[in-house]
Amino acid sequence: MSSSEKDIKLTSRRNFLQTGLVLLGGSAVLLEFGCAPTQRKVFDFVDSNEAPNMGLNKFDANFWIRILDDNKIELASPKVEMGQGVFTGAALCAAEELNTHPRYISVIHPTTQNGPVDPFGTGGSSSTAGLFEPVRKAAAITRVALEEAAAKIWKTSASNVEAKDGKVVYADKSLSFAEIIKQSKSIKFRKKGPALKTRKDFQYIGTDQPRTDLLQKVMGASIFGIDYELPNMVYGTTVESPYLGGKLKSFDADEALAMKGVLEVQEEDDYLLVVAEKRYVAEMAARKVKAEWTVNKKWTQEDIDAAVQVGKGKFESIQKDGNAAAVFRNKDQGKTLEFEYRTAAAAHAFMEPKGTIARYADGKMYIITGTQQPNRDRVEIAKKLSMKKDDVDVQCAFLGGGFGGRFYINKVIQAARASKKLGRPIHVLSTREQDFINNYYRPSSHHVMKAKIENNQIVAVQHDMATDDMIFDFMPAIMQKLMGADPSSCHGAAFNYSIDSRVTNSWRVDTPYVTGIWRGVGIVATSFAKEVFFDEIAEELGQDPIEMRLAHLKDEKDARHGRLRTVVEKVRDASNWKGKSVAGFGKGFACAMDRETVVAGVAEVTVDNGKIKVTKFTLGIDAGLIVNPEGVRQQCEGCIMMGLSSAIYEELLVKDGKVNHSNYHQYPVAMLSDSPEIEILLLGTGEHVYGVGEPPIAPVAPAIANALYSATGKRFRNTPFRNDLS
Amino acid sequence: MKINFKINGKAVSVDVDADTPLLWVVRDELKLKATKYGCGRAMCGACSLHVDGELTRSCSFPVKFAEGKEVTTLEGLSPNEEELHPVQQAWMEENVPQCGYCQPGFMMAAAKLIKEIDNPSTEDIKANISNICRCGTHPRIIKAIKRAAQIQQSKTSSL
Ligand code: FES
Ligand code: FES
Repeated sequence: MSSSEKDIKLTSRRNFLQTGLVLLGGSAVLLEFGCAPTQRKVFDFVDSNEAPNMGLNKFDANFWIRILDDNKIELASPKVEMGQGVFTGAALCAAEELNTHPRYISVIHPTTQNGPVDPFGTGGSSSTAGLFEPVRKAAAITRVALEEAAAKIWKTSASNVEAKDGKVVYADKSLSFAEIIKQSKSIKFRKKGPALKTRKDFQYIGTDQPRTDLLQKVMGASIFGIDYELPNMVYGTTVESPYLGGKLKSFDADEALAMKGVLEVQEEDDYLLVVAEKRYVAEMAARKVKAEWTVNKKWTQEDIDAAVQVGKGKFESIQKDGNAAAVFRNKDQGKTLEFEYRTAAAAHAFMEPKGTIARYADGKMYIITGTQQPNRDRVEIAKKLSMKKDDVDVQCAFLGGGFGGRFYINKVIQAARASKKLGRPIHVLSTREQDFINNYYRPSSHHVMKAKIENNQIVAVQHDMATDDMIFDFMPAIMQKLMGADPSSCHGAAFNYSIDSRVTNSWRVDTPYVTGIWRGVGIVATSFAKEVFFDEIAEELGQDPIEMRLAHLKDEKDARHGRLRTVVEKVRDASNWKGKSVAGFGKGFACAMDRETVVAGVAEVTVDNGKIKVTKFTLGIDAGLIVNPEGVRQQCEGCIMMGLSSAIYEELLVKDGKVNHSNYHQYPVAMLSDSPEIEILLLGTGEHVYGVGEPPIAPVAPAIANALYSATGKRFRNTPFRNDLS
Repeated sequence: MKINFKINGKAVSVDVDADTPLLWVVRDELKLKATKYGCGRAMCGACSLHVDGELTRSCSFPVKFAEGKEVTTLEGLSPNEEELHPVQQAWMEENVPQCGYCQPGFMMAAAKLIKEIDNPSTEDIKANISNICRCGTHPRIIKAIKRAAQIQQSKTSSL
């Protein structure tokens, strides 16, 4: 379904194009777009490079770091905190260059008006990595400014003074940062900062630090969007179509309006909004509204499965190395292996339902919401409500989970519209049912994998995948022309192993619901299909699956090969891979390269009473320089649990025109009882920081599938695995 | 309808529809926001609190049943940030939360569990707590509950 139909609008195109050239690696590409080789080049660039640090290069140090009167150092984060620990990572980066322990630093979400907000949002495993340079730079500039101001107060040279833990010291004298500011007429920030410390000089970066938000979260502080209140605020619950593509035909709200505490029922294009003084009343009244929906087609899961099929949809070439076509055509030589794989569609199902507080007053809109895209929310409100962008201010709150699911918050526009009509602040909150039914999802996928084996060698591989888009709807239309295949949906689809002939194709298909980003984007599906397939090839070749992978990681030009080899070996040894196998238990391996991050995992599983039990997961990761090892471990644990959940349980189905899951009982996710023993090996190398929020999810599903094969003798080629247990 | 009960040791009286879930009374009337809405159907545990010491999913507990009872939310678990409840202390030491949204519910469930089973095994924890966390803090929650049990024991033995 096209973007306009799904009511998803782009972020500001002007902003995008300004930095779009950076994303594409130069304007030369722009001149020759459209033909397949160029598309492959562009796709490959976007697929293999770290998510660009867009919109973060311009800054004013003062804008980022504020010294408050009580000498607290406040750092405004352009990236939002959704649990991934970016606040802690940012605090460590600032601490390092301020020469000040991270506990002195508090990190906040600025509003879109009063601080730096990344215009492209938070995602793509780029938050801590993206802040690494600019925050250290801002902190260094701030430190020098404070040292110079202090030196001026003491009438000495700046080289004699030194910043340390919130103070500047000179011989036996010291002044807190706040006092320096108080005693100085003005503070001068240099445009060009001093040289930044390198890895060998770090005192905080690379050390284990508790989360900066730990105490707040343990005390249950009011930090989430749902926790805020504004004076005179009312509550809103929407009535939305339970049918995919349903349009509001008619409604009867009399009974709802008669309820005590109900203020009004607002009619919008495709939904109704019940406004009440209390939240419970709004929700109960919404249930009393009788709405009729026009539904052109009642979609079924069979329709969707038939659409998501290699050979259907729009063909796009992603990778074409060597001469695979000829190799596969030659039936006289060797043997061709061919298998099909499927992954299910999935919901984000984060614990905090989507919600938004909006206050419209005096021509200005103020929004509080947990969002991965504060700037996009602002732009969209301005556009839809015909307001000036500068009259809209979005305050991001802590997110009760993101996972790519808060790139678009349908409640933002709903709340903004309602508040403008009412002239009162309103909190519009999704019910859990709406969060499952009126939302966007990770698309399902279908993969056909082929390999040609000659003389016990893999000579050619081919991957054809069919899936719906994830990010094209959020990009200017020109990007579709430039890239051909959706870079998020097909992320990780291309082969990285050293094999002469490699082909990857995408088939862009259309499903009746909105599809979008979900933790790991395409790599959840692509690494599942590829890595289970390589396990099948290893079996065919009679080789150990790990040794076979190692033998195909020998590209000298690709530094990731060497780094991944090390990770694979460490994981092999730590998991006692070659150890004796016990009947009923199985071990399985998988690895992946996700942009610059390399990961490998070994799953150990058993099937107990008709339930899949992952007993242990060993994960190795090299994501470059590690800012906060504790944070990386948390992200790895999160990926293992979410990957396991998706692989074993999760499946979003459509029935009678509706999404068939209204709540967690119909959409099971991993619980404490599914929690395996987890061992994480952090192997950070180099001076660059790479992403960690998503790459570790890549090996989880295939490692479990491969372990299940070794435990049960049965191949699990479709997620969720629970469907194939019997 | 007026309903009277005690919340974190303080007597309160609220005037709301008697069927209103205790969750919304605690959050919107009493302004105690630690208790969270997750599913509204007693399935996720985000809204867990204690009613007369019993672990209760407050989204599915009409406020009228709280009449005359003692309700404890996460805010009432410890007197202040310096004197944390063993569960909160363990949560700090294990650096448990990610997004943090599910954590109050888990902590309330954990506080109840270590009262019932003073030295719970991994299996006890897995069998007795059915809250949902989407960020994947599960392994840390299990460790933290065991640690909380130890802290609790050392506190009682030092009394
Ligand atoms: S909100 Fe009460 S159990 Fe989920
Ligand atoms: S910490 Fe995010 S849902 Fe549990």
